[in-house]
Amino acid sequence: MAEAYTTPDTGRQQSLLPDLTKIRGAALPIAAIGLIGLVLGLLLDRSEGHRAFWASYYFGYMVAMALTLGCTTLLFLHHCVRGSWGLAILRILEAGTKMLPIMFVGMIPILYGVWTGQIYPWANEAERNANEVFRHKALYLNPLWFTIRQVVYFVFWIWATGELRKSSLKQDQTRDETLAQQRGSFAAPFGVVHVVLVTFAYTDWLMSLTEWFSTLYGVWNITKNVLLTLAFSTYIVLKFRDRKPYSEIVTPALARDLGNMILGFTMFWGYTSLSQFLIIWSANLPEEVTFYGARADGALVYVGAFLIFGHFFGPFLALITGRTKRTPDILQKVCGWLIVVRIIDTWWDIVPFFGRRLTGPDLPGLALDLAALAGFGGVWVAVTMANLKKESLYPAHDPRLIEAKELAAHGAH
Amino acid sequence: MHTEGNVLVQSPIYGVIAEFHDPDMLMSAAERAREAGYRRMDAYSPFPIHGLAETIGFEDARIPWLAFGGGIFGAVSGFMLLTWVSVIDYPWNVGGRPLLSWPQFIPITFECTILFAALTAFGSQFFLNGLPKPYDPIFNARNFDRASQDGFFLCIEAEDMKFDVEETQAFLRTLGADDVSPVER
Amino acid sequence: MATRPLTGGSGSGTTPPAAPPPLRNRLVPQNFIDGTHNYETITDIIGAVVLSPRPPMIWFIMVGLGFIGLNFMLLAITWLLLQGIGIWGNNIPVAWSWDIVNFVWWIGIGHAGTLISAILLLMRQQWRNSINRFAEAMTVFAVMCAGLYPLLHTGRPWVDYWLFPYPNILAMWPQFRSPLCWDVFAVTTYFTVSVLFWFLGLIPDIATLRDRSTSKFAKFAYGLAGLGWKGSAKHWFRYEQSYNILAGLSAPLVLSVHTIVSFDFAVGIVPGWHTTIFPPYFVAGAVFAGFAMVLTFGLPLRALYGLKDFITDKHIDWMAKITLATGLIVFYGYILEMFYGWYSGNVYEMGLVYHRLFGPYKWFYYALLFCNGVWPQFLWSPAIRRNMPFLWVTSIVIGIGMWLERFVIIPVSLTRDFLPSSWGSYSPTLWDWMLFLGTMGFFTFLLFLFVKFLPMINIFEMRDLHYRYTGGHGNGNGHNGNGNGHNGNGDHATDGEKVLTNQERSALPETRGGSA
Repeated sequence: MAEAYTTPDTGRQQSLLPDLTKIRGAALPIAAIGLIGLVLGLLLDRSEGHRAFWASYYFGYMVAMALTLGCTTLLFLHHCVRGSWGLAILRILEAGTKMLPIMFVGMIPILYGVWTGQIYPWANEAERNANEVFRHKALYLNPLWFTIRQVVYFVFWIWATGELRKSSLKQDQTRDETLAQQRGSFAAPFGVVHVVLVTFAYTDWLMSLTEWFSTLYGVWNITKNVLLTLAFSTYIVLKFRDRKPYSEIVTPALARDLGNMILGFTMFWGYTSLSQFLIIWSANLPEEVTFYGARADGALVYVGAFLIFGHFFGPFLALITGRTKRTPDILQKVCGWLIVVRIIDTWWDIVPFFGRRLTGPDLPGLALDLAALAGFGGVWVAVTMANLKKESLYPAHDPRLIEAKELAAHGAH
Repeated sequence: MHTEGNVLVQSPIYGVIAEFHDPDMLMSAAERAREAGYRRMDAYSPFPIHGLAETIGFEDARIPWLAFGGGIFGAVSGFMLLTWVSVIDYPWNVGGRPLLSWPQFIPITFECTILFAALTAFGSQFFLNGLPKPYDPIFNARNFDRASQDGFFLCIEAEDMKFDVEETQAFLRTLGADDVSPVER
Repeated sequence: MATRPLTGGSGSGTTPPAAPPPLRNRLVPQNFIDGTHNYETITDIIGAVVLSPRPPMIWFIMVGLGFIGLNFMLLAITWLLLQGIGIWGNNIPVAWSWDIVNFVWWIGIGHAGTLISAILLLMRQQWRNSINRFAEAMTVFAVMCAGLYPLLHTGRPWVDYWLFPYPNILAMWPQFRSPLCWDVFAVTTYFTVSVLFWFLGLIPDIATLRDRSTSKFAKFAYGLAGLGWKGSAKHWFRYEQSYNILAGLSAPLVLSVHTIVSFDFAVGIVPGWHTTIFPPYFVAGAVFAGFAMVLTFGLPLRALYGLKDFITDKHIDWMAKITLATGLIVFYGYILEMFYGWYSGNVYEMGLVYHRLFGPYKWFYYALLFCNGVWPQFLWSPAIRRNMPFLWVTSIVIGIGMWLERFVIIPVSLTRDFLPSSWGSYSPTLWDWMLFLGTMGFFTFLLFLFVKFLPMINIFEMRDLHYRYTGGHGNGNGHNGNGNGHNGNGDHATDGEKVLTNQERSALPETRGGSA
């Protein structure tokens, strides 16, 4: 590990904490405006079964969910392999997983929708009776089972991430290396269960919105979540690299590791996206190809085309050079860009499930989408920043960071 | 190399070589030789030592760019081949798919990209290093078979402006070399 | 040469003990070379496998067995060329069977080599250094075995060059929209790049052998193959650039190859073939089988040639863990295939689920679940990861399981077409068996020839590893830390990121030159 970007000067250097308060302060009103807008939208929404409202709600909710589950996945991954890429962002990941209970609260309106026959065709009796496939799936896709599954998912996530968080904080105090080993032994089976649960969760939440199915969908969504979370946490860490304590631990080596992780997941996103598209496009089966048919309808096809270049080729070419990963300013910009394209991609994935297109009558829905994004995104950022402030901003127990800090201090005089 | 009358005569001495038993000593010797003003030199080691090439004043960033160019060439030529064949030269309806089935052209385009980039990276390494080269005067150096095992060598070449067989040998001895000797061409 | 005093040790007295390596270097995982070594002993031990005048008896036995297998293969191919592929068991509707099963199986085995060499290099996992050479050789040989099958399956192998796009008097081009055509490009590229990567890695070690061998012929042969490598710093610089680029290219390449192999099936609409999880699931399966194969051959060779100091228990543990992880991904794929087969509500997909679970080939499916789903779960236990005989048996079980997986996917899916009138069955013939066993012999033969004539561990990278940790002072203080740092509890979370304990760190002298 090489020295930190900035020479730490304990006397004058600013702490990160006031910045976090500032971000939280800015995010709260945005969240409030967004949520108010969302409620107004619900009241104004005249579409059948409030489809327009639900489309926006799902979009906002799923962006926040992507961050939350991305943090969860990366937390398991970090403790399992103990890669040094996770050191600087570990506390952000832990704070992000604290959003899980709030995300469950956000699930309650969805459960209400399910029990009242809205949102999902399988939950609506008339639609179910008209469709043989949904009758077949009713064994699995019915309101009761759906609700039970949601409880199982969230109980597991909240419990497993809580255990890892507690252990990591405890080690900050006790410096007991066996705790790290314990986390390693638990994170592996947690991760195995987690991957299965996320797969079924996205089947419940999104895939079952239509008749469409794809076995890759779970893996695809895990990748997307991780990519968004990596971009977000790297952005935070780099933006505040001159603030304590990041100034002491965020080294070019750590940034390069994170940059490589982002590159890897960008490539894997491209790989899974292409694989799914190519298989479905080539086979051209009527029950599968509807997914891309809806997303290539009208102007939406341009969004898809933009994503190929903006989400894959652009970031890929930027990240493949060593210069980007060596230059924190550029890497930070790439992360910011990735956050934006991830949100656009989430929109492109979710909104067409509800029959929305990019044509005249559907355009007012965009305002509602923005409100939902502001609402859920604002809440997520505000709560996470508040949670981040509560604990030490980096895992103080990790010997690799101790080493890095010593080196940084050594270089100072 | 110099001329005597009209005849080009090579000096019988290729350079002066010093042997070390430790990579760190080789590194510091190379640093000192640079500081002393020597420019034409090369170091020999049984494994790559990071920073050694830079220390003897060597820099070359061509290979990554060449490989990148190879990749671009592969991608463009691969995609053009597929498009030209499928759309222009041999238009053939396959399962009702469009002639320009670009999603199905991606795999081959990708393989061509990798193939040409890899061939370029591999080939340019040999080309720029001047390999294969079965005979090299440096092989005449005393004990040079250790350079592929556990010996670390620094050779200051006769073409260096500052080179003088005796002086340079004396200089190298001050660097803590185990053995210093001239290398015949 | 052997009389020359060792120069690597710090005990040589005349020279002052050199400064300890910079602090940065001590962060390198230290337990990937066990025992006490210096540059000379590393070169000696690994080089001796090649340069010793007489290989052990078991080597002759293995090469002999391989040679017998090779002859079976040649016999099977000759008869095939004379008779045509009617001698095999595949027939409509099962047009693809053992030939494609074995193609996928072999090429998957090759993938572990590329993964170990390229991806672990990019991830800066230094434990790869002692197994990459051997695994790369496996890649090259496995791809040779794999490529044989589709080439023979074309029916007229003598016109196989038609597979490539070249201007010809037939006025014909390959059908570029077919995944089979993508395979031609993928496998050729993969073979080419694997050979280049392998050869590039070998050059410095061939130079070592050139300088160490005593027989005139060996000196000449290695001198020719070494291309005049002299270890110049300038050459190393370009060499590393080139090597890293090849690694960077190989990593996506290896993914693409098995992805394209999976497209052979997934792009079609046969139930059991057409599913979107196939690309990552095939890649994971390939790595799973490949690591198992590295263990199958690596464990006996390590014992046979006394290479325990270089291929340490730690390496074995890591390989077992990766085997477990990829095995879990494969098992995840089985769950998805079953679940979404039912979930789709599509009668053909559901029919496939039923066929696999209760059809005439159900025992193959249950055996597959046992071999790939149940048995590898033993690897969760650290004690079992240290138990070499058990691990070896596990690697065999996985090899069988992955073969069964391809069998269940390829011919078994084909026995059930959309119309019951087109249903069929499949059983292999003697010639199927002979060709398969023959390729195994061919593989074994090549692998043991490789072990005899080329260094199976990358010598220069081991020297580099040795330097990075000890600064080259093999007999000095450096390796003492090795013993207590690792002391065989060998499991756990410190993997690959081993750091010195506080006590060890405080015992080390100050950073050299304050350059940090």
